Amino acid sequence: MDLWIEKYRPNAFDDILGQRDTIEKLKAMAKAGEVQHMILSGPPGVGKTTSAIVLAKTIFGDQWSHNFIELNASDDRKLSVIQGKVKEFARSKPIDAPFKMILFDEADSLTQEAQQALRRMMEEYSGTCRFIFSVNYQNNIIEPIQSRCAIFRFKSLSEEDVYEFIDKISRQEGLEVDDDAKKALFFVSKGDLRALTNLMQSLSTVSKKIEAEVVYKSSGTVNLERLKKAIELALSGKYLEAKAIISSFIDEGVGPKEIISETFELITSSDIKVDEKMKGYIIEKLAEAEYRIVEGATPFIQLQSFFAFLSSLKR
Amino acid sequence: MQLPKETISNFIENGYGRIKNQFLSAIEKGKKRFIFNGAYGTGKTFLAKAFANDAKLDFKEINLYTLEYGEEDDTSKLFYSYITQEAMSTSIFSQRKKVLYITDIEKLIKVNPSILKKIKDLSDTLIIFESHGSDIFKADNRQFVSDYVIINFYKINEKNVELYLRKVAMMNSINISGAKLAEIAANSDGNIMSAVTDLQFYYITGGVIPVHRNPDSNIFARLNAIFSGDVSNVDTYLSSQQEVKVFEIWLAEKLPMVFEGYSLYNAFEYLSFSDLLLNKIKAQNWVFLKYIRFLLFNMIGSLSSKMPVRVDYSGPKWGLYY
Repeated sequence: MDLWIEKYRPNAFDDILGQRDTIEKLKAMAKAGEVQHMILSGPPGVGKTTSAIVLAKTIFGDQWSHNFIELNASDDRKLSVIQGKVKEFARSKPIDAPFKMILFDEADSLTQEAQQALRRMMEEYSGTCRFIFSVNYQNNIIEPIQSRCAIFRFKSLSEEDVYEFIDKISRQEGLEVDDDAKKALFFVSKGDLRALTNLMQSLSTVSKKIEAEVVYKSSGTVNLERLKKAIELALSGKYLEAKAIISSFIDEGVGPKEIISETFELITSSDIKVDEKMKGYIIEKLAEAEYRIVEGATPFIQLQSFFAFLSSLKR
Repeated sequence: MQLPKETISNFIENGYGRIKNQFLSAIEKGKKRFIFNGAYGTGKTFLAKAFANDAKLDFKEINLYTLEYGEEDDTSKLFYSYITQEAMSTSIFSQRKKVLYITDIEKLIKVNPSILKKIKDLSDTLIIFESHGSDIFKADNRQFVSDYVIINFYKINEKNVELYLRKVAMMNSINISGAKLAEIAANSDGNIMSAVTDLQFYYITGGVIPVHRNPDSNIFARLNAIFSGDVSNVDTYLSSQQEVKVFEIWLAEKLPMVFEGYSLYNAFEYLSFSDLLLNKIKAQNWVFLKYIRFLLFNMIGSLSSKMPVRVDYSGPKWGLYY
């Protein structure tokens, strides 16, 4: 069985959803047949890698796979790889084309040292090779590389774009998706088409009819209804009952980060009734808890302390 | 795209040749070791190349990061011998003297700063180091750089960037209006390299204006959204730490014009906490941007109920904040 993410990866600029301005600029470049070094920045799953591949296909035609390589995060990102593999590719002559292209996927994880080495290489091999960086945050790339690159910014996808994509897949695969399920899919995937496609594929193996409830259940590992209940209990001062639910999540093997990010979604949405003024302080506390977890504190204690704070709000 | 040849006469700087004269007069006095210190894209490499071209010397650029070595190798020894070797050798084809341009003094200082001292009387070769941070000014390192002439480079102002771009545009007969040139120049943030890249983009695509490098172009739309309490229609994706910082400074400047009393206090509470969070963002902890985004846009936005009579949208006085 094909992987849907590959099956539904767009093959032409016009198939890419939602990024009209950026795609126009890329098209203009492809039309001229001349490419600069580039930074493609934006949230995950909105078409950065796809655009780079489409650009390569447009420029190189049939020879595209010879003149284009993609290094993603699974490849080693250490200095030695840059010095070895990348240099090897960059210095060799392109086949039937004026230049080659290297795509660094998820370049946020390139180390500073590797980037410093790249900086020189980009100049040295500018005759034969173009470097493309796909990043979530532009500033993870050091300034001297940024200044050598044309910058393309990708926006997060709107609800309509995501619905359009869902419609397309369900039409071709014969799935049945109602409006509630669409909403659920959008909420769960947060505009990340890659996550969305994978989720839909895994759901389709179970049933041809996709329902909102199933989406929520199988997507996140957190049961939103229960989490919502926990937060509401805590807000009404019943700390122990809230804690019982949180403990049960931990027992089920849900990651604390997952719980925190879903709590964030719930509190910032209008599902939970909190005083507007209070909301800010809750978010501050939540951010603080997440920060402490990231820094290495014990997640369960931080979670409990956050819920204890929530229950202290009830006078 | 063709760029002006690297010669001293093509070198651009703010003011009247201060950097150029400082460098040339030091050379005249027989100095052979330099450190060029300054932000990216301010002409450091250009000046070194220009001098080499004008004086008919060989120019060699070295990046210490591209040097290959194994895990057990003594990097300090390796760097020393590499630099020595490069400094002593001359091409067999030309017996000309050499300008050695080493781009990463930070790396060298991290490995072993005493190398700087060791190579000070090495040979007749002109050695120039490039520096970007304040590492060379630290007290611990002062003794090692005392034999070097430090030349400071500053960000090129918009007018000069524009003049340079105009020159490039004329050389390549690019047809571009003055307003668009000015826009690209303003977008470059004093970095010539960015400006040239953007002009090249314009040239390749046949007249498409590139994306703003620092994505704060919709700063007014965002401020308006916050002050009118309707943030649902504005793009709030924050793409970099720098962008948030800039936006925070704008907010801090404009908040007192819109809010008062308790709301003002609250707004500043949110602002200061998001600033605190911003400082906690290290290399990969970008998850915090979502909190910052919520605090800045939704929370501060929720404090406001109606658009104020007048907000003065002149830029903050940057000098006061840094």
